[in-house]
Amino acid sequence: MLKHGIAIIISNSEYDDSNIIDLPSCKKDGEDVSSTLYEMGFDIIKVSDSCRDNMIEKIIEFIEIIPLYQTNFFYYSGHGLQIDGKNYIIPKDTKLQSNKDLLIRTSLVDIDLIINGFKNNPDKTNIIVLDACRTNPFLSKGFTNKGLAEISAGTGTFISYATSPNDVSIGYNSENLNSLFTKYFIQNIGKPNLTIEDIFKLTRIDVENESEGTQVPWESTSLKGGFYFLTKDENEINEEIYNEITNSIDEGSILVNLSEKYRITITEIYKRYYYHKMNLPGGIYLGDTEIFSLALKRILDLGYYYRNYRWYFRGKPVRMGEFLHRVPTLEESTLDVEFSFHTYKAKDNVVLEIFTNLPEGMKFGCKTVSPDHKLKGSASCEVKNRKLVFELGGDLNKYVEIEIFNLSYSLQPESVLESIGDRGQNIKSENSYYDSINGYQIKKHLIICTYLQQ
Amino acid sequence: MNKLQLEKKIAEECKALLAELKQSNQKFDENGLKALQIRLWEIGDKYGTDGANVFNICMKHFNQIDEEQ
Repeated sequence: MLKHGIAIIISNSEYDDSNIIDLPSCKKDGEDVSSTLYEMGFDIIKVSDSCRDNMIEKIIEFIEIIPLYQTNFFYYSGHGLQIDGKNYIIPKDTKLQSNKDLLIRTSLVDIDLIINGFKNNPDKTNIIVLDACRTNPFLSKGFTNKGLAEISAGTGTFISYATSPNDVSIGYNSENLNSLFTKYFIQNIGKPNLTIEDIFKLTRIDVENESEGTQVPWESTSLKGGFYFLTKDENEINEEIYNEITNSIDEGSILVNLSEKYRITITEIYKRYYYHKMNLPGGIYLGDTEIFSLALKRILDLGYYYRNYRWYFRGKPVRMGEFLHRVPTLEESTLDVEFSFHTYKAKDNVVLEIFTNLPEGMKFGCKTVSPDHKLKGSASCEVKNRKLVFELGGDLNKYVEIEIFNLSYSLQPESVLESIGDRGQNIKSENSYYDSINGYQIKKHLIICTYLQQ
Repeated sequence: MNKLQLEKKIAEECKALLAELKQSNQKFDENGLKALQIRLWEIGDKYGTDGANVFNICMKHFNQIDEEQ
């Protein structure tokens, strides 16, 4: 892999002096930033929980190697402080003391070492990230303020602070957690095709949201050109989307993560997924509308739902995009309703079986028009095995007039509504009529010669 | 290899797969489907495609494969 940068990652989590609070989350900060930058093509000089002498030695090594790389990156997580407008790193072997000059000359590491090293290389891309604005252990000594001071750097330098000047940032008392700023920095740096300015803007938004406005990361820049930590072309992104979805256990969540990572809608993700799949050996060619039809079905199967004009997944709104799926034409969706009937005697009654092509489970009512006849049993029935069954009693020596009609659409099951359409709009029949309140209704008038059954 | 050559190679593998399935007397039930899925994906991974596409190729060349067996 082409190495386009050199990074020095310094993290101090454990301090020898018991008066200086340990910062367990800084250890994970250093490890995670190192591994992330290494995967992106940086060579790494890693310094963790280091004494002053070793730290200065590594910084000198870093400064000497800067001219060989295009991008130079300095990251620090741990205690830092400002004295008289200048910023210093606190190494692990620092002792708490009251003499300012002695402290600076013997214990602290001046960040100006890095700044001056970068100033000598103004044509490179020089990046400083400081997650060091913690509770200042020397605050009580009277010669320092909280947080870090604003740095004045040369051209070609980008400086990021975990919080605004003279303010304090949030860390955690756990080795398993990153500090707030570093957590979002690592997340956002992995998003491809974003400029460095955009990455830190996103980080600022995330940190400010989680800290409820108490921590606002800060940047200053004198970069002369655009800089991207990670670039990917369309084919690489499509392949990654395809692999993530194919290998996923929880496809629903993966879609949301991919949508946030690449800042595209979920329909766009599926489009890229199917495009990539189509181009693999054995892939079947699908048109755009077919892709969107498949995607819509998949989305609904995964548990996404539409409410108040937005799409949601597990209670959270998502960026779905448009489904430009194939809409069935009127001819495809129309249902030509057919009826035929058959009667037979059963004890003293006549059983009427009405055969129909209407959907299984569709509910119908029946009433007798002639007063001499009555229905036996229920006056309503649902289509089962493509037929409706009613029983008639009364004087069976005459003609029987009956009327069958569909029950209200609010009483019909969902599977029926899918077939017959909204308010029965798919129904096409000489036995149907339009009602402005109830939509398309079916009514069939039958005259049965029951006496012929004897 | 171009796509056509890959397809032919995959069809050859499918021939062996179908012969294997016939000999094993595996029923076409849930377990049978899972076993088929695993085998299809093994072939897919070998040739840089996915299990569903291998199945497409198998069905596309099915008559030819069946005749040759």
